[in-house]
Amino acid sequence: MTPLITVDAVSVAYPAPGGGRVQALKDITMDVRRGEWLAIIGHNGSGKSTLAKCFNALLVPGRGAVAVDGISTRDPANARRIRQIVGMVFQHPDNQLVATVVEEDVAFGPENLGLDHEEIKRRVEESIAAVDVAELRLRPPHQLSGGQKQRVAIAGVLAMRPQCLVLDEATAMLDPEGRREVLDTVGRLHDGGTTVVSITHFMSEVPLADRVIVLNEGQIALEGTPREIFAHGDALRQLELDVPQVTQVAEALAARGRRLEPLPITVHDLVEALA
Amino acid sequence: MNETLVEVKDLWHWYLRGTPLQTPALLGANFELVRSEIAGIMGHTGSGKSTLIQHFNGLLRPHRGSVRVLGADLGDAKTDPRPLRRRVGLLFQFPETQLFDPTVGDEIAFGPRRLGLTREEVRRRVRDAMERSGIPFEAYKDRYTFGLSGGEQRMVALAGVLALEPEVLVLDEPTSGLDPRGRRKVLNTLRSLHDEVGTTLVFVSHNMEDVAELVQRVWVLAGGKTVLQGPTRQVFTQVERLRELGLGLPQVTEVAHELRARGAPVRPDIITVDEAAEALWTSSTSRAV
Amino acid sequence: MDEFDFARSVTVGQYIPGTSIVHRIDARAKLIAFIGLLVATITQPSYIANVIAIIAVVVIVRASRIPIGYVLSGVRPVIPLLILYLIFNFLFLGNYDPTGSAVLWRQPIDIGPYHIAFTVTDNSLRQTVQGVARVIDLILLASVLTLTTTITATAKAVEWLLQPFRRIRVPGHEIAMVLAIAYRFMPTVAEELERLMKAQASRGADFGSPGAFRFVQRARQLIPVTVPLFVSAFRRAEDLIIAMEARCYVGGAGRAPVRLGPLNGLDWSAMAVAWAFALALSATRFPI
Repeated sequence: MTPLITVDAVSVAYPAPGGGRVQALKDITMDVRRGEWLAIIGHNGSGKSTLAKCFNALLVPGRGAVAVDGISTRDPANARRIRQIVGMVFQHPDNQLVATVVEEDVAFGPENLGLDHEEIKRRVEESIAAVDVAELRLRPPHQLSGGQKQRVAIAGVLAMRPQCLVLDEATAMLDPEGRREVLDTVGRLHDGGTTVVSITHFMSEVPLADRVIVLNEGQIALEGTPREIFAHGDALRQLELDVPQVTQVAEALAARGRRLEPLPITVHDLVEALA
Repeated sequence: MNETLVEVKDLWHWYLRGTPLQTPALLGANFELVRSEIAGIMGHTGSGKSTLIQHFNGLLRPHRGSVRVLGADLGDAKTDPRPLRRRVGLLFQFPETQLFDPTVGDEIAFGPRRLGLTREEVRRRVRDAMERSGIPFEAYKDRYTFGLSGGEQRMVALAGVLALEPEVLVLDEPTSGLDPRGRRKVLNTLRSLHDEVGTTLVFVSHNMEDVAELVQRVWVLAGGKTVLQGPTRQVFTQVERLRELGLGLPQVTEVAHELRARGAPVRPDIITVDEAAEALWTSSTSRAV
Repeated sequence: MDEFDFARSVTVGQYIPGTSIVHRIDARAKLIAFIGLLVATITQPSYIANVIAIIAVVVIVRASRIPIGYVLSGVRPVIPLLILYLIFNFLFLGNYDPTGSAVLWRQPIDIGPYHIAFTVTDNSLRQTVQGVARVIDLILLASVLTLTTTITATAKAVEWLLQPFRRIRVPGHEIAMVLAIAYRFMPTVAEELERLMKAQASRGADFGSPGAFRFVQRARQLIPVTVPLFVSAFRRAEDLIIAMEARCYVGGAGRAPVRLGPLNGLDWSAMAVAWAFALALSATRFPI
């Protein structure tokens, strides 16, 4: 199966505030496979958000090529189609909701596509149910919690019926409850076949993914499954990241001679390994 | 016995009191802060944590019950909260949104300048605050505030409050939104502030691992009331209760709890990685393999 | 009242759900009726007409079943301005009366080298009192409108009413969008303002009044609040643009025109009554 998104030798540079240019991405080549959950991690400034914005043509790279379902992002005429295939949810819960009540905001995307009213209503219903915000449908955004706002944002994206959902640090500003809500929702969508790309710096979210790419200074530093990545504890710490607590415990035990296989990356793993 | 700096008894507070949109935020909360301690306040969203801490420097007044801070009774309308604010510093969540001066040095100097100090003293405080926050004075004092990264801006906001040299520092979610590197910088600054300067700290946090690392005494709020309090280690053993209250626990605590439930001889009060490694090593070597 | 709660007491703009007759009238009809009532309160120079207009507005507020105290609290922020207006016009407007109406009171006074006169004429008194009454009417009407109508309904009503003007390039959709977004962020910005004031007060900023006319000083004092608000507003705008583009927003083009249900008996009656009242009031000659 061809990948859903292909990134080929992509470089992106920004003008720096003090003059000169800052290289946000340097010659990156990677892909997003259909149906997978890909996590992209890295410290702030590593280029992860920049890469995410290339996936739905919000950013067109200075060099290299990005294609979504075979469609090139370089041609502005393709943007509309691409953004229906790849939907994106952003970090700031408030700064994505434009309408005055929840169900109006969910309808925003389909309205922009010029769909007729019956179709819009249908999609709004489906999306609201998919993220479980039915009892909030008439509430104004400022009365919602962070987690609820992000779920509404996801509904707004789902209403466009995308194949892929990109979460650009979508849990960074949430409390643990909100984060749980959002990740549970995304998990369900992933189980239903949606491709997920999550950009995050929370190590505890990484085990949810099928595959992980670690960015540093605009380049790919590590790639593999969560377990493979977390086996490189020292390398990750060099990159200003870390491994989950349970993995740190496994590292400490390994240092004393007790190796746990397979490497624990969740609470469940460690309990099973020791019980 | 250390002196009590903050004493909150049966505190009630409503938002928009007297309007049709009136809602209770605190329904009889209790809290106590003793000099030189590091206290933590936890609770699900909407439990009243932010409302509670805003009483500590007089931004909010008690509607019922009592709040005494550094000897002042905040229930008394005649009490002027402004002198209190130089002794009790408060840093809100996402404090980088409060930056307004284009130059880092001037931004941090805002607080001290308002204290009527000499220029040399203001400069000294700004320098000390910046060094302690990990943003070196010479390198950062003339930088453009809005050109800094999010993590750097947070440290500038923190330095802005440190420059007041408060006896008590209250922080609302100081590490929220930061990547592991940024979080480490904040925790180190707070640790050094407490250990080297003797500042009493209170922080509201969702991050159980932060709480386990720094906090000595924890207060848990739910529905506007204090429902649990005690030494961190002790409170964290109440795994079921905390889960009921919608709170998480450090991974290592959950692991210990699970293992105990399966009959393994593991201490219940494990809250850090080192403790876990030690305990699990001991328990695994003490069993015949 | 707590020092910082004020930002939340903005009543113009808040929607309070309800089932009163005013709530049930369609937003389009309410807007048209609102304009009619505005006309009623503005056109008549007679005192009796003004009293009738005020009574009409109060009747509407009562009909909306929202506590009148709450609606009146929307007037509170404007009171200092109104008092100033009242005092200045009461004392001085009479000096500039071109109609030569009867002088009711005159008091020449010397302030240093200046000779001025406090003059109240029949006309100036009328204008002063009515000016204040009209502002209050306007605020009450606007409050009732926004308190009983969701902004979505209002924005859609505006877009629908402006639709016929699409041909002459009036950007009805964009106007409605601006209204809706501005409204949607009002409570968010109000909360932000409250948080900012608290944060800066915690650092020792003082927001007390430096005196009635020290505008520059007042502006300087508010910098720790206005600058971050602006910065955040720009950041918000940038984020919103990106988020809207990610959902394929390109403006009014390509969107289906807004479709609203038919107006019913209640709606037509409301409009008819409001305009009939307005026209009747304008046409009647009252003794005073």
